[in-house]
Amino acid sequence: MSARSLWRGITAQFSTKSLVLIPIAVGINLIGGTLSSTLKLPLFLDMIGTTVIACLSGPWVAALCGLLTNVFLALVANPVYLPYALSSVLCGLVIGYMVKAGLFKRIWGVVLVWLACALVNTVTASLITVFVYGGATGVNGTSVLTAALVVAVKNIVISVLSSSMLENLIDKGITVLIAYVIVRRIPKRFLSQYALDGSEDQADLDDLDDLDEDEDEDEREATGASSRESSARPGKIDGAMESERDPSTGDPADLACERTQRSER
Amino acid sequence: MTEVIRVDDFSFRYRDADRTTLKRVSFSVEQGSFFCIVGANGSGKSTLCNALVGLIPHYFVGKSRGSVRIEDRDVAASTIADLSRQVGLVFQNPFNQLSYTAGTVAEELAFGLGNHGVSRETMHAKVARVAALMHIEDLLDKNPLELSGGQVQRVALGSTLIMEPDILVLDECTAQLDPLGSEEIFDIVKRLNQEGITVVMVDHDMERVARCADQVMVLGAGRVRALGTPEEVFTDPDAEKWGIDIPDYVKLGRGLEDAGFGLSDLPVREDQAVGMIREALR
Amino acid sequence: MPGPASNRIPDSPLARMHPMAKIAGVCSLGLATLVWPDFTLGLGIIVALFIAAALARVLRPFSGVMLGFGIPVTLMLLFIQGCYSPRNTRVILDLGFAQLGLEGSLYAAKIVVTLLVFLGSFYLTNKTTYMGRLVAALTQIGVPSKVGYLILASLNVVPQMQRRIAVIEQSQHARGLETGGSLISRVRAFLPLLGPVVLSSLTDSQERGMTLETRGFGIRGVRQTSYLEVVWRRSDTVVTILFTVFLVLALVLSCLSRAGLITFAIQWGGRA
Repeated sequence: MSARSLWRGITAQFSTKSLVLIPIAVGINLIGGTLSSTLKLPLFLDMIGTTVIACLSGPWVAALCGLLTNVFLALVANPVYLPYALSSVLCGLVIGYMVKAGLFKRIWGVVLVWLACALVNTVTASLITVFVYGGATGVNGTSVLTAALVVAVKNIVISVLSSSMLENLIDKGITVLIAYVIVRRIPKRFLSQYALDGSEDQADLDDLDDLDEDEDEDEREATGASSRESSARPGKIDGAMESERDPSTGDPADLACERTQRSER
Repeated sequence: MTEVIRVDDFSFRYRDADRTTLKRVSFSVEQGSFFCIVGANGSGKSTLCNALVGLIPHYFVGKSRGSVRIEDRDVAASTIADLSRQVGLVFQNPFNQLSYTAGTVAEELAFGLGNHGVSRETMHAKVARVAALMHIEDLLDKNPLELSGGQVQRVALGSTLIMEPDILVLDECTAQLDPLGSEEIFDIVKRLNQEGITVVMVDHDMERVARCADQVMVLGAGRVRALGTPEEVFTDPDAEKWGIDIPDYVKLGRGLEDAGFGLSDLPVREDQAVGMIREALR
Repeated sequence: MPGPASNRIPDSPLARMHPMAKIAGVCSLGLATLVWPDFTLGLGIIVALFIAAALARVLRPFSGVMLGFGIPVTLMLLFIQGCYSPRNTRVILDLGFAQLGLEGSLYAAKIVVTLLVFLGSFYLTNKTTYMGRLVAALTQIGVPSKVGYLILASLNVVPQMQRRIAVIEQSQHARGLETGGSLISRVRAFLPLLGPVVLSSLTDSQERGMTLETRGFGIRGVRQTSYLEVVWRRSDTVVTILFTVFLVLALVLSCLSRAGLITFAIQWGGRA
């Protein structure tokens, strides 16, 4: 069973629907990077897209997205980023499998995702910095911090690790937080087209019959369409974080509306 | 006349959706005809278009029942790629209809052919032919991402036509364009229809629908509310209850009737309205 | 079809070269530098790359990238490795606060030249290759179209998203939202403009997927073809053979050297 069904599970994740998300997730990753440099933050923020796509299309698509992000950075910005593809890939896998386990639905789960991602990235990125680049890549604040630590503790590996850990905890914290907010704001009709566990398709076939059942209901809905909007306010509370942000899109309210409707049923 | 599209008792609900988007829709379209679908926003027009080209059930996940047949081929049993040779789809947002793999318009047009493994010589010939048809010969070497919306929409229509489909499904394909760009696209579509391509068009411009449609279907909340010739549909007393706009000419005719002019038929098209006014003035 | 006609890449022998031959070049030169026992071979290749860049008429941006990356990383590594490497035995320079060791410095130099050879050859390949041709070449040898899609779509979608961000950024400026000020206020100004772009890009992907599907993307059982023709010419064969011979030679020589069978003219301190 194992190897073959695992492989089939992995290839099933690469549907056209997921494939078209990858360039966009790579774009989000790079926008995060641009953002942090525009804001003059000493961070990368280059895994927001990877985290989002992990929630939509699963671990292996996220891994590929991480790989492509680094390849893209290598192509257009600086080839130094290429070896770090390894840590992006591993982070994508770790986030993906943790999301698949349902951790992104709970706050403590999100915290776990943050810590795991920071840890994985710290270890792999540090190993790459030490073994590929001998300790510094000369392109960021971390290298300077590392150099300062080398002077202080006189050990290259420890210096790289500790400067990287500090940076990663902050960086991945912000990354996971932003990704969480984005995923919460994605319209449900879009989100529902992506299945994290492939079993849902099967379940769908069984209850074809209820297509009829709601026909009368739809008649009511069609006539009472206007009353539907006004009843949608209560959901606002759990959208506290979103409501601070741009109100013009109106998505959070819609989502909340749909959520309450579902729970009524 | 032969039927090229046959939809039978078709229902569809997107996964996790609260309501069924299409409910027991049945209709058929004859070869070479101009078939228009109208209805309010959210009435299921786009979903129906997606079902005609096989995106439902092969791309969108959900529950469906009933059947859609394109030229005697069951859509559910076919693949989108196979269907793309028979039926092509053009929708609203031009920039979402680019493959994003092409550096030039010529490559963009050839994208579909490349996927079907067409030889390079054939590709070059077809690209030249479609470019002439769409009036985009001068754009062939340009980057599609640097074109205007109207130009991109012509490229999108061209990339669909290059597959030489017998049926063209247009889902509000001029909604995001300025009036001029919109007319350019529309003129091409009309010419294609005259050359024998079956057109299924979703549009909000009722004067335009009345002008060209052979058949009009009104969708409301996922159901077929009315189906018939533009005259039958737009002069129906219930037409405004279906959530559609009716052509101004019909309103004009009703106004004249209310003012005491006895009319033989309510006009739905410009030429009919002109005739009616002439008659009333006499 | 000689040269990448359609995308503003200056015509040159390097631009006309088959993309796969160039990739063979990147691998050959990079690996040769990596296996070579010291930094001398890499230094020679770097000089050759500068000449190639001049021939391909991209010398100015090429130098910018090489120096912009090379100088800081050299200084950084000389400091970290040169002064603090555990393998340092001989001191070549006393800086007062630290001592520059020979072994660490040589190690730093080796890393720097290897990086620069990879960087430079990669950059040259990138700058002289129209990506459409590269993907067409990959398609010809049977690489799945999904791979080609990912390469090209990333290269097209990402700049488009960046342009959208830039447009919104400008409009935020016009509305008086400053990007200066304290960190908190800068973050406040930026986050709301990021959200809509990200969300609309994500939802746009659904229609883009529809487009691909209706154009027969990912069709099975058909060998894909491409509009662009990429011809493998005799010169490409010659160049690829040269690259291969060069790599094999470098491998053999460095093996011999490491085994102590031959010695190079230049002896570096305590290495042998």
